[in-house]
Amino acid sequence: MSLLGIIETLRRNLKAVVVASCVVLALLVAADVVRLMTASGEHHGATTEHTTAPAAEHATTPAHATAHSPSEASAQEGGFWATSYHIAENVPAFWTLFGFLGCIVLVVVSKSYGHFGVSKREDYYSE
Amino acid sequence: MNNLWIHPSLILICGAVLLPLIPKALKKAFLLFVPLAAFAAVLSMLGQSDALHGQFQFLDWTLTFGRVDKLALVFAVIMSGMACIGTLYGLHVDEDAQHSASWIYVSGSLGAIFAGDLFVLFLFWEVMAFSSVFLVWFRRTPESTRAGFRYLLVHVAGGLSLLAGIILWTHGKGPDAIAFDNFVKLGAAYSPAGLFILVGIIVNAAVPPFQAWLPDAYPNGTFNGSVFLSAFTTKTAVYALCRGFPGMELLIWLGVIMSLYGVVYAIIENDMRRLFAYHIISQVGYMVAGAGIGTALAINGACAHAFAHILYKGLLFMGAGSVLYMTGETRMSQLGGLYKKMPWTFLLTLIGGLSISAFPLFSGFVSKSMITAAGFQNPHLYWAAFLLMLASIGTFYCNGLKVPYFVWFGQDKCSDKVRERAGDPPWNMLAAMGVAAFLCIFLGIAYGPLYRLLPYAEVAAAYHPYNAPHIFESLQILFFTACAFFLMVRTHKIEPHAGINVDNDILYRRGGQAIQWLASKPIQAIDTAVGECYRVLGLIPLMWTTKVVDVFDRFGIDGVVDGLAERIRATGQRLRAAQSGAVQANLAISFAVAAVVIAALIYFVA
Repeated sequence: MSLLGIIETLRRNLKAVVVASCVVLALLVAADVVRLMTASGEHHGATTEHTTAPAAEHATTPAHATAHSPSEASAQEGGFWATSYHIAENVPAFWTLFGFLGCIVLVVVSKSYGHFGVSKREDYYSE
Repeated sequence: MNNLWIHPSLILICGAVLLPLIPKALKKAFLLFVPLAAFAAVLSMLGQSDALHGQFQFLDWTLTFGRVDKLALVFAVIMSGMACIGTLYGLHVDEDAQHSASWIYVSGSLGAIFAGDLFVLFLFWEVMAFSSVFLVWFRRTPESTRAGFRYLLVHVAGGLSLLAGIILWTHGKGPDAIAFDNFVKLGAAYSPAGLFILVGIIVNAAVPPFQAWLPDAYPNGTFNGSVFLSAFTTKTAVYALCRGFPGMELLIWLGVIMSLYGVVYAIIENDMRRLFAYHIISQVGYMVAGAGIGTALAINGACAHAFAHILYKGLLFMGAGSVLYMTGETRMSQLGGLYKKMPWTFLLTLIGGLSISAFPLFSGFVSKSMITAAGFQNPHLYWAAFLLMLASIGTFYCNGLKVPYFVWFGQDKCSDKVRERAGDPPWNMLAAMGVAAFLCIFLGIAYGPLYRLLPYAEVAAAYHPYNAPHIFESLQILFFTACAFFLMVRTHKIEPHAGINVDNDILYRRGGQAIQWLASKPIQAIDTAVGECYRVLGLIPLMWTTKVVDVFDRFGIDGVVDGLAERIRATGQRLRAAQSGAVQANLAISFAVAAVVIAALIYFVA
């Protein structure tokens, strides 16, 4: 089936595609909540024992010019289901809201910026 | 192997010089061969220990043309690789000068990357500027010509700043002072010399307030020239920052501001190539911030991100270049519904868009996240990391949603001519895009080879991008940004409008016009007024006085004495009329007079 055929099929069944997407989105949020609930129990145990190892490793790297040393363990320990590595991760669906609201805020701010004088007609610079 | 070290730039420069001499039948093969040879030369340097090649003695100093270490190599690999892809993309272009200019531009970039000292760096910095401007000028529209001049203006100014910094830095110091090393470690990053050098570098990196040249010049390049332009200048500057100013805190601020600045302008931009150009600013912001954070993970991130960025930004510009090449149009307000005619261009550009957005399984996912992870490692830098995540929302919005939707789907606003001409581009352009797209996906899945290239390979090996928090974070951000986008499209809140957005280059664009006005009106008026005064108060009285004196002299003095002067003058007038002007007559009279004089002399003296 050609690429064009695939696109046309998706367009014909647009309603189904939209419904499927909404289901995926809902599953994503649910999965994130579940992940956080199951992982929160192991969170404190995992971070403490791993703070020393990465700190020693980072001390030897020569490019470390700033005075701040990493005070929190990275997410590398724990493999695939690694625990979260900073405070925001502990809020369920944090990134969902961040993404959705962030997008709207960005668009609103950018369009306002444009309307306050930056956007001009196409021949603004022509003499 | 250490004895036989060929600078890849040398291969490209020789290729550029020889290209016009190659017969037409072999031209395409030669075009593919030269960048591949340069790429092979770079690859042959991999796996060997750090070395210094190409050192020459110049006056008191030892110039180093080939400083090879991991930081230089990771950039050199992708630069030379991109040269191959870019040349393939423009393979069907007949004008040799375009290919030569592109290769000299890449050679400048590679030369700057391998430069071991500041003089060689500066040399290749200028080579880059002067060769890349041709990629803008070859478009040959009046606007491109002007944009090229503005580009050159900014880059020459940046180069001068770099030179000033180098002179300040090396002046009075020993011959080792020209080494291009870590200014932060030497405590000189904020010294006048260091700041001048920094300004010279960040002009090339398009850091605000020196960023307006990029969205001005890049969309005005040729359809294939812009693919080269998008890759080299800015990333060479990122390399220079990683080398010279790692860990400089100012860069974190600049990087974060840049990444949001580019996104804001891109959201309101109508021209797709200008939108991609603003996203160069945005993504380079990540790299600058990474260089500013300075930890091993951050520098790794900056390098990995540069590597991936060159590929997916090249892919995006290739997609836009295809639309431009086929339809002649790049403004989203005049496009739409092109998926029927250009489905493969759509898919390949979408891959670029997903890659830049750090979609899982694409190259951005394994590279960009290192920088934000480095930010999140340090609680003092949480603000930076969150703002960079915000910028990545805008990135997906513009590159993965806005452009693919409004160019290939959405409302069909194409003119008949555009719709007629639209179609998937020639095989070589699709092949080049295919290679880039393949690499974007390959690097996203099999990122091991990339991580091994990075300067701090052990730290890179310990970083695992594919873990649950990271995947969930990315998918949530991306899918819900898409959700917001489609809601806004459905409610007609966002639509492409014809129009431009002015950037801070209005200072020198309007400023230039203002100075011209100043010169042609007020200053010219003053000059004319002064001239008029001189004429009225100076010349006229002078001429009148001389006339009076002349009359007095002729009739007053001479007339009173004997009128001799007046009689001589009258005789001279009549003699003057007697002259025919013919050379023969004059010669005859001269010889005759001379003969008489000589005869008289002989007769009376001898």
